[in-house]
Amino acid sequence: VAVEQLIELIMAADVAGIDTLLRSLDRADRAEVKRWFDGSRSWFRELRNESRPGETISETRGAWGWAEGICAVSLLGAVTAARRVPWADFWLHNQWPSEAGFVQLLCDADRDWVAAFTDAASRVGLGRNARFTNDTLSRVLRTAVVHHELPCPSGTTFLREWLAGSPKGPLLDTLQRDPLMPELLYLYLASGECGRTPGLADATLALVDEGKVDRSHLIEIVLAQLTAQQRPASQRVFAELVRGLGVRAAEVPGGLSYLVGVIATSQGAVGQVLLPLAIDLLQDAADLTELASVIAGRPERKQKDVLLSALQSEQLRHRVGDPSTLEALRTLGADDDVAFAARVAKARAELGDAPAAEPTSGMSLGLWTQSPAAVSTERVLLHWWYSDLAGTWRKLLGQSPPGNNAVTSWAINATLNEIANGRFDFAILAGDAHVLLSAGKLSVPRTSRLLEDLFLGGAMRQAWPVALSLADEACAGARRPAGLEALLRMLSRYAREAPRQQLPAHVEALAAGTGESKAEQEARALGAALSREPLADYVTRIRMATDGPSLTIRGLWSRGGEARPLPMSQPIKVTTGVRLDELRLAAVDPSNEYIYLRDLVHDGAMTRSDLLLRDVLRAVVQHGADAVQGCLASVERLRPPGPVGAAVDLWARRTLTIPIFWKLALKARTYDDAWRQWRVEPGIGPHELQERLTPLQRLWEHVEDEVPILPSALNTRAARVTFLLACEALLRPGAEPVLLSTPTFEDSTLELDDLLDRLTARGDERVGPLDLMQALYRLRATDPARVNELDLPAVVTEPALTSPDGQLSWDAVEVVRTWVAAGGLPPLSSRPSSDGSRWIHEAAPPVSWELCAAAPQGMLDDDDLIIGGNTGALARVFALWPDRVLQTPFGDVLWDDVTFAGGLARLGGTFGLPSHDYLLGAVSRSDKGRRAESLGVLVELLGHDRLNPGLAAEAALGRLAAGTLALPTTVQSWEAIIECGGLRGLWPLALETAAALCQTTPKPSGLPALLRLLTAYAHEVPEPVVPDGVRILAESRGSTRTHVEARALVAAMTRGSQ
Amino acid sequence: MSGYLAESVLTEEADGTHLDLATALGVTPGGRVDNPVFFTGFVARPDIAAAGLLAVADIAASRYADAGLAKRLANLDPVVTAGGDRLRFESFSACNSVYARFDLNRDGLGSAEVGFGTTNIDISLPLRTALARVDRSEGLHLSVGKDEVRASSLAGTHVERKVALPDRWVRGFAEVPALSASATAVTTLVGPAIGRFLGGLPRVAPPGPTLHVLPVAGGLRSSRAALPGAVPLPGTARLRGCDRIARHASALTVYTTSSGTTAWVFDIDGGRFTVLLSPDPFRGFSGEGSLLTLLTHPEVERYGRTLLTALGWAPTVDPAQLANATGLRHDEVATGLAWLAASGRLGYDIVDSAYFHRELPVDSEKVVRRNPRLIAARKLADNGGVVRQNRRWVVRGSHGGWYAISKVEPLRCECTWEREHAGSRGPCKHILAVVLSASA
Repeated sequence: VAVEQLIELIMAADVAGIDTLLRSLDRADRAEVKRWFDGSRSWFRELRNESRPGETISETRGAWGWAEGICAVSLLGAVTAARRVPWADFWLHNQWPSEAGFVQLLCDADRDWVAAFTDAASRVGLGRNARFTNDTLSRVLRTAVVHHELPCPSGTTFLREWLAGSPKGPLLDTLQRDPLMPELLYLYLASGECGRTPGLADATLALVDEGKVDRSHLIEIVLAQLTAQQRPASQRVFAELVRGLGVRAAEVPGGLSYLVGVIATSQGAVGQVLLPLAIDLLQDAADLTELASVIAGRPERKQKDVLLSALQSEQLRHRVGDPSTLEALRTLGADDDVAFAARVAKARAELGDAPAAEPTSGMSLGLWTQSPAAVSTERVLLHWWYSDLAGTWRKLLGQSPPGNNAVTSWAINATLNEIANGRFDFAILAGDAHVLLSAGKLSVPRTSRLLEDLFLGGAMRQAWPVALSLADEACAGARRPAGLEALLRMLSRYAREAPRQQLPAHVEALAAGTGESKAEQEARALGAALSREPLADYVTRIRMATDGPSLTIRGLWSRGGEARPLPMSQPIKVTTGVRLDELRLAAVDPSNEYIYLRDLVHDGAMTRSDLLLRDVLRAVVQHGADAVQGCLASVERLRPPGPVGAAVDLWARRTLTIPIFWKLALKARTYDDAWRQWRVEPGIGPHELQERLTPLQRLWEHVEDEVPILPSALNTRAARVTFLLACEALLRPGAEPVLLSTPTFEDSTLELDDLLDRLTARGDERVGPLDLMQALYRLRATDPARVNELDLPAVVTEPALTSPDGQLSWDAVEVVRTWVAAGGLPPLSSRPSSDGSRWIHEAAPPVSWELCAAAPQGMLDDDDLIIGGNTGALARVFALWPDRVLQTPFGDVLWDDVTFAGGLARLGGTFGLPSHDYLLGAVSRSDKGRRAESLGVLVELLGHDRLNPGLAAEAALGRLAAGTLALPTTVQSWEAIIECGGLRGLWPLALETAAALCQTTPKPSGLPALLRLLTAYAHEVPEPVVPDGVRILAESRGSTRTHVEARALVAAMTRGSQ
Repeated sequence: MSGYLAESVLTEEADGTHLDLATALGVTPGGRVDNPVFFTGFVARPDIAAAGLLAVADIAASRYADAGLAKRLANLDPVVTAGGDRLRFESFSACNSVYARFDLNRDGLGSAEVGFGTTNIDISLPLRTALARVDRSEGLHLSVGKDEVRASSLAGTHVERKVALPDRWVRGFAEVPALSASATAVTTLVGPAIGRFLGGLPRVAPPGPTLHVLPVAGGLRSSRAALPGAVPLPGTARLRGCDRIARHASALTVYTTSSGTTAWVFDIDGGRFTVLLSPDPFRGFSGEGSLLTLLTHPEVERYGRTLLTALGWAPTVDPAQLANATGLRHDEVATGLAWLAASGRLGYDIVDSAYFHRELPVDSEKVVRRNPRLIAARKLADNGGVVRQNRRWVVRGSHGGWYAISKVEPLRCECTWEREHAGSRGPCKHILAVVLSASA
C-alpha cells in the first residue's frame, strides 16, 4: 500500500506529499518502500520520457526528478543518494518550487549524513547538460553545507559553479560575505576551473590585502597548481596572482628547478612572471645553461628579451661568469628572428665574442633542383566549394581562409601534382596574390607558410619567383602589410637554396634604408643570403650603391582597374513570347521587385519590375486577359508584394477598376500611417498589432474599404507612383504591349529614339499620364534641337486616368516637346539643410509631376521615407538623379552601406556632392573588412570616370567641417585603390582633395599621410602638375610635418621636369 | 585489484631527499606480491628522474581528445617494470591516444640493485608538486616499494587507495609493442633544435591541429600539408607532455610507422623517454588491432605459454634465443610473442629493437579472450556466418547483408570499417572470421 501511495504521489510530482508519506512510514513499510525504490531506476527512466500536459520536457523531467531526489535522500545512504538524485534534470532556467522542499529535507537530515552526501554529490558527473544544471546542484549543496556549518565541498562539479546561491553582486563583495570563504577560494583555485571567473585575481588580491585570505597559503596553492597543467585561462589567473602577490624568489619552494620546470611547461604568461624570479636564482653555469635552453625553445619573444637583458647585466655575469653567459647567448642567438639575433650578436660582441659572419642556416637541402613528384592527392572529402584549385588558393591566401586543415593539405598536394604534371599556372597564383595584396586582403604570414610548403614539396624553383615578387610588391607600397617580416624571414631561410641573385628593387630599397624595423632587418638578411655576402659587407655595398629608395616605375598609371560594364551601357533584355508558367514564377519571385538599393548590385535588378509589368502586358496580348488573370490570381506570396506585384494582385483578382484606381491614388492611407496610429492605441499589444497589419499585405481583400490601406512596400511616394503606373497600365490591357516608360538600358534610363518610336506606334491609341511622366523623368539628356523630331500627330492621354472626373486629357507629344525643348531633366542641386541633418535636393524640371492628378503630391519633396528600404523604387523613378537616394550629409555610413554603395554605383545619371560624400565616407569607415569591400565600388566608378575631383574635394571639406573626415583610413583605402590599378582615376581626386585640405586651417591630422601617399606614387604619374594649394603650402614658412610632406610632394612631382 | 599501503612521498632527510614510490599489487618472478620492492638507491640525476616521472604522470592525467576536466584530473597510476638493470615507467593518456615510457637505465640508477617485476606506482598531486621541486644538486634516494611505510606511519594514518588498471590500458599495452616494432627512424634532432621544434608547435587547446613535420637541415619544419617524406603529427598538443623532459634531452629521434603511429624518443642522461602517438587524437591504441591476425592462429596460446616460461624477466627478449630455448620455429615464436604481447606481457624498446618482459598485475589474458573484434569474428565463424565459394568468401554483415572477400591476399573486405581504415587498424571482424574459418 505504501508503495502504491508513493507511486501515486511521484506520478503527481507531489514532493511535499512524498516527504510526508516517507516520514510517516513505519519500519516495515519503509523497508518495503526502500526495496521498491532500489529497483526503480528503470521505472524512473521510463517516467522521464512521459509528458505532462502544459509542461515542457525539461519541466516534466525536473518535477519527477525532485520526486526521485526526495525519495533518494529519505531512503538511501548518503553516497548512494547523492549519485541517485537526477541532478542533470534540474535545468537552470526553470523555477523549481520543489527545490525548497528538497533543501529543507537536507537541512533536517543528520549532519554527518549530509556531509557525506554533499561530498559525494559535489563530484557527480552532469554530462553534456552540465552548463544548464550545474548551477542547481551547487546551489542546493551550498545551502545544505552552510546550514550544517560543514566544510566546503571539494568536488569539481560543485566548484564549477562555486558561487551559485551566493548573493549576486561584484565578485569581491560576494566573496567577502561568503560563509564558505576562504576554503572555497582555495578549492576553487585547485579545481581547474578558476579561469572561468573574470576578475578573480583582482578580487583575491584584495582579500589578501584585507587579511581574509592568507598570503602564504595562497602562494603555496598557486605554486602547487602551476605543476598541475591546468587550463591556459587558469594559468593566467595564477600568473596574475604571482605578480600581484609580489612573490619573491626566496618564497618559491624548489627554487630554480621548480621555476625552470614550470616555465618549460606552462603558458607564456606564467613564464613571463616567473622568469625574473628564475634569473634571480641563477647561481652557476649549469643553472644558466638549463634556463637558456628552455627560454630559447619558447615561442614568446618577451621572455627572450628579458633573459637577453639579464645576460647583459654585470650582476648576472658576475654570478655565472662570462663563458656561461656567452654560451647562453649562443643558445639564444640561434633564432630565426634576425632582429633578435642581431641584438644577441651585439651582446656577444660586447663580451668579445664575434659571431660567425654567415648565418647558421647556410646548409643547402638541394631544394632548387628538386621537382615535385606526382603523388596521389589525398582522399579528402572536400566541399564542392573547394573543388576549384585556383579558387581555393584565393581563399587560402585571403584573410578569411577555410578553417579546415584538410583543405590546405589538399590544395598543396593538388598543386604539387599539377606542377608535376605540368598543368599548374603560377601566373594565376601570382596574379591572385598580387590582387589580394593590393586590396589589403592578403594574409602575408599564411601566404608565407603556404609558399614554404611548396618549396619543401619540391616546387621551390617555380614558387620562389612568386614569393620574391610578392615581397617586392609588399615593400613597394607606402604602407607595408602586416607580417611582411615573416615572408622575408621565410625567404631568408631558403635563400641558400636559390641561385645567387640580387634582391628585387623595392626589397633592396628597404634593406638599404637606415631603419631598424623587423622588416628592414629581415630584408638585409635576405639580401646578404642571396648575394652570399656577409651581412655587414652587403649592407655597406647597397647603401653606397643606392642613394635613397629606388624609384622604379611600376607602370601603375597604365594599369587600368578591371571595370565591368555599367548598366547604363547595357540594353535591357528583350523577350518575345511569354509562357504563363514562367510569368507566374516571375510574379511570385520577390527578387523581381527588389526594393532596396543595395540589391541593385545584381545585374539587371534595376529593371526587373519594369520587365515584369511588360511581360504581364505582353502575356495579355498573347494569351488573353482571362487566361493571365486565371494564372496569376492564385499566386501565394511568401513575402509582401512590391509595387508592381501589388497592382498585379489587384488586377488578377478582378478588383481593379477605375474608381478603385482613383480611390487608391487619392484616398488610400499608407501602411506606415496605420502602424503609427495603431501602435499607440491603448490596450494593443504586439500580437494584436501584428494581427491587424498582416492582412494589409493582401490589398485585394480590403480595397473596397472607404479608405483602403496600402501594403508595406508602398510607403514611399516613389513606390506608390510605380504601383499606380502599373495599375494604370493594367486598366488598359492589350492597348500598350510596351509602355512609354519601359527603360532602354539596364540603369532604368530611356533613349529619346525609343520614346519617339513608341509615340509614333501609338497612332490613335491613348497613353497613360503616369507612364508618360515616368518616361520623361527617365529620359536621358537630349539635345534640345531634337525637338524638331517631335513633329508627330497628337497622342492624347486616357481621360479616365488623367483626372478623376474623366474630363481631362493632354497631348503627350506636346508634353514631350516641352520637355526636350527645355533641355530635359535638369541636374539636381543638393545642399545640406541649415541644421546639417539632411540633404536638400532642388530642381525645376520642365514638366512637374503635379500635372498628373494620380501622382502622389510632393514627388520632389525630400521628406519621403527611405530608411529601411524603398530606396530601389526611388532610384527607379528618378533614374538620372542618383543623389536623391541619399539623405544624410557628411555623416557616418550605415552598416549595410557597402552594398548600398554598390547599388549607388549601378545607378545612371551624374553623381553630385551627396554621392561623392557618401563614397568618401564608405571608404573611410573604421571597419576594415567593409571598407575593403567598398573599395571595389570606387575602383569601378573610377574605371568609368564617373567621379569629379572638385566634388570629391568639396565632400572632403564638408566632412572636415562636420568632424567626420577620417583621413588616415581614407589614405589607406586610396593606397589600396592605387595598387589595384586605380592610380589614373584616383590621382586627380586625391590631388585636388589634398590641395583643398592644404588650404584649411588648422590642417587635418591625416594630411601628411595623404601627401606622403601622393609622393610615393608621384613618379608613376606622367607630367604631374602641382596644384596651387599644395605649392602655396610648400612654399610657406613652417616646419610642421604637413609642410615637410608638401615640400616632398612638390619635389617628387617636379623631379622629372628638372 | 589491490591497493597501496601508503601514499608515495618525497621527504627531506639528513642524507638527502627520499622519494618513496608506493607500489600496489605486483607480479614478480615469485608470483603475485602485494606492494613489492624493486629498487632502493640513489639516482644519478635527481632532476631528470623527477622530470621523467612527472612527464609519465602528466600524460596519465591528460585527456587530449576530450576536454572533460573531471576525468582529465583523475589520475591513473603509471606502471613500473623492473628489468634487473633498469626501471621502466609506463602510462597512457586518459584518451588512450598517447603512450609514454620513461626508462631509467643502469647509468641513471647508480650501482644499486634492481629487482624484477611489474606493478603500479602511486603519483598524487602533492607528490607531483614535490617532484617539480627536486633539485639536481641534491642527492635523491629512490625507493620503488618499501619494506616499511615511512610517511604514513609517521603521520599515524594508513591510506589504502585502490589501484585501477583499466582494460583500455591493458589493450593499449598489448598494441604498442607491435606498433613500435614496425617503426622506422626518420630523423634525429640534437641540442637546441629539440627545444626550438617543440617550442614552435602551436600552444592551443588539446588535441591541437594536425601538422606534418619534415626533416630539414638543422631541424624539423612543420607544415599543414602532408608533404612527401613528412611525418604526420596529428594533435600537436599531444607532444606537450614532453615539455618536462625536453630540456634535459640531448637528442630526439622521430620514428614513424605505415599505420601513421609516430614515436618520439628523447635521449636523456641515464635513460630515455619515449612517446608514441596514435594516428589520430581520437583514436586510442586499444582499438588498433595490429595483432589480431596472429591471434587467430589455433596454436597461438600454446606457443605463447611455451615462450612464457623462457622469458625470465629479461630486459631484452631475443627471439632467436627463445627459439633455441623452446624448440619452436621462428614463425611460431613470432606467433607466440604476439599472444604474449596481446596479453600485455611484452613491451618493445624501439632503440634496442627488442621486446622486454613485463607482467601486468591483472588477468591480462582476459583482455585477449574478450577482444571484441575477435569475439565477433569467432561468433561469425561458429554460426555459419562465413561461406566458402570458389574464388571468394562471403561473410554475413551486421545488418543482414553479405560481404564478399576475395581469396587473393591480402584479404580485403567491403564493410564500412575496412572502407574507413583500409587495414590500418587491423583486419575487420569479417576478415578475421574468414581467417578463423580457413584455419579451422
